[in-house]
Amino acid sequence: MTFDEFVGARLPALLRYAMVITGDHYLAEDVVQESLVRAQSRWSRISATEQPEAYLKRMVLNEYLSWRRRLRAVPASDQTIERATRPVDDPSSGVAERDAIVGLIAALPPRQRAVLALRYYEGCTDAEIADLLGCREATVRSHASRALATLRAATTTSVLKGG
Amino acid sequence: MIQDDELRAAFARLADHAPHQARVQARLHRAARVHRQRRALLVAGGVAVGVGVAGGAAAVAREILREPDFGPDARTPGNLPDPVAWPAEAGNTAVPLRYRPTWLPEGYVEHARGTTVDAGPDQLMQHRAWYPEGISPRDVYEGPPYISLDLVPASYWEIAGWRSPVSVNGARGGLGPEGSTPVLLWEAGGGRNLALSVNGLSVNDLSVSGFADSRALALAIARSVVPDNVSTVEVSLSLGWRPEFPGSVVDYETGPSGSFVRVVVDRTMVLGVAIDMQTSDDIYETEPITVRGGAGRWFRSDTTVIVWLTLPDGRLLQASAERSPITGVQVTEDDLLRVIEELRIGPRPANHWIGTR
Repeated sequence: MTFDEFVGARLPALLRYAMVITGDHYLAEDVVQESLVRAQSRWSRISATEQPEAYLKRMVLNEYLSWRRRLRAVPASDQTIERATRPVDDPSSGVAERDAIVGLIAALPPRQRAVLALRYYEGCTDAEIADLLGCREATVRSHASRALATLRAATTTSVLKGG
Repeated sequence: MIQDDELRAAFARLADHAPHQARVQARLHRAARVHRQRRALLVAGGVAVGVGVAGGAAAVAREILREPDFGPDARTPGNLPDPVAWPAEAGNTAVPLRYRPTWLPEGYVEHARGTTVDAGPDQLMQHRAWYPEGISPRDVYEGPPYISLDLVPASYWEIAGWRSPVSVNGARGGLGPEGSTPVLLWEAGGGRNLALSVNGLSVNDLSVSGFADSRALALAIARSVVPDNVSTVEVSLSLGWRPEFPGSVVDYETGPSGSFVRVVVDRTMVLGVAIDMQTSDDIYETEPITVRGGAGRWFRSDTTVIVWLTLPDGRLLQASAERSPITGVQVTEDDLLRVIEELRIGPRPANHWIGTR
C-alpha cells in the first residue's frame, strides 16, 4: 500500500483517534498532520511493518505527549473549562449527561486522558497501554484510577444538582 | 456512578468532533511540496549559519442535593517554614515571587517556579508548583498529582461566571467543578487574580489529606496564601532577540527537569528554548546544522522546527518553533536560528528551593 493509499483509507480513523487522545479539535489535526509528514519520508520502512496503522497511532501518541507539547501545557483554555462546566440541563436525558462527561474528559490531564482513551476507545489492555506510553503497568493503573475518580466525583455532583 | 459503557459512548461522541480529513490532506500535499523543494536546495548548496553572539546572562463530605459547605471564611493556620532568599548565581537574575502558601498537605514539596520576564506590571504572571516528595524529574511527565499557584492578570482568568462564588479571606473568588484547571480563582488586588490548581489527586490522596474533594483542598490552601517577596525565581535564560507578535509574552520556568524560556501567543507556545531538559531526538529524522559555532541537529516540517545542540559546557539545548493551531502564528526557521544565536545563557540556577516546603 502506498502512502497516499494509506492516507486515503485510514486518515479519518487516525483523526478520530487523535481527537479522543488530545480532546482538542485543533491539536488533533496538528498531531496527525505532523505524524504523517514524518511518516511519509519513512514510509517504505513503516509499510513493511505488520501493522502500519498501529505504528502511526504510536507516532500520534508520542507527538502529543512529547516535551514540546509539555512546554505548551499552559493551563486549560477557557473553551475547555467552559465545556467542562456546562450545566447538565436535563439529567434524565442521556444526551445531556454524555455531553457533560465529554467535557470532563477533555479537561483531564493529557496522560490520564490518553490512558482512558486507549482503554475505552481503543480497547487496549493495561499491558498494551504501558508499552505504548513507555511506562509500567502500575503507572497505567494509577493514571486510570485518578482519572476515573475525577470523572465519577464530578458526574455524581452534576447529576445530584440536577435532581 | 459512571459505567464503562458510558465512558465508551462518551469517547465515541468525542471522536465525532474530529477534524475533517480534507484540511489535513491539503496540508500534507503542501508539506510534501515544501519538503521536495528543500531537499533540492540541500543537494545544491547545504545549509549553514554564521557564528553569533554568546554570553552570560530566568472532605468535605459532599451533601446530597445541595452545595457543599466548605466552612467559614477563615485563614488556614500555616504548617510551612518562612521562605529563604537565595542569591542568584553570577550572571543570572533573581525575580521576586509575589505570593506563597503557608499551608500545604503533607508530602508536597516545591518543584517549579516561573515568571513572565518581559511583561509590564499589568501582564505579570507567576507560577509555583508542588509535587509529591520523591518524584523524579522524569516522572513529572507521567502526569502525577500536583498543586500549583498562579498569579495572573484579572483579564486572563475572570472570576465572573464561575459556578460557585466563595470568599478567600474577604476577597471575592469562584470555585470551578471537580477536575477543572484551575479549580479556584480569587482576587489578589491590583488588577490581578490568584489561581489554585489541584490536579490529578485521587479520592484516596484527598482522604489522606483530610479532604473529600479537590475544591475543599484548594480553598484551604488559598486561605493560607500571603504576600511573599522573599522567595525568588532565578532566571538563567534571556532572549537577546525574538520575533514580535501582537499580544505575545515571554515567560520562564525552572525546576529539576531543566529551565526554559518561551514566547506565548494566545496561551499557546510558539517558540521555546530549553536547557538541561533530557529528551531524545531518536524519533525524528534530523539533519546536521551549525549553530552557535557548534554541531547541532534539526528537524523541520511544515509546522515545526526543532533544534538540538550540546553546548560547550555539556548542557543540552533544545529549541522549538511551531505554528499555533489557534492563532496561525508561524515562527520561521531563520527566526528560530537567530533566537538561538542571540540567546543569553547564564549558569545553571542553584534552585536550592527544589524539594523543600
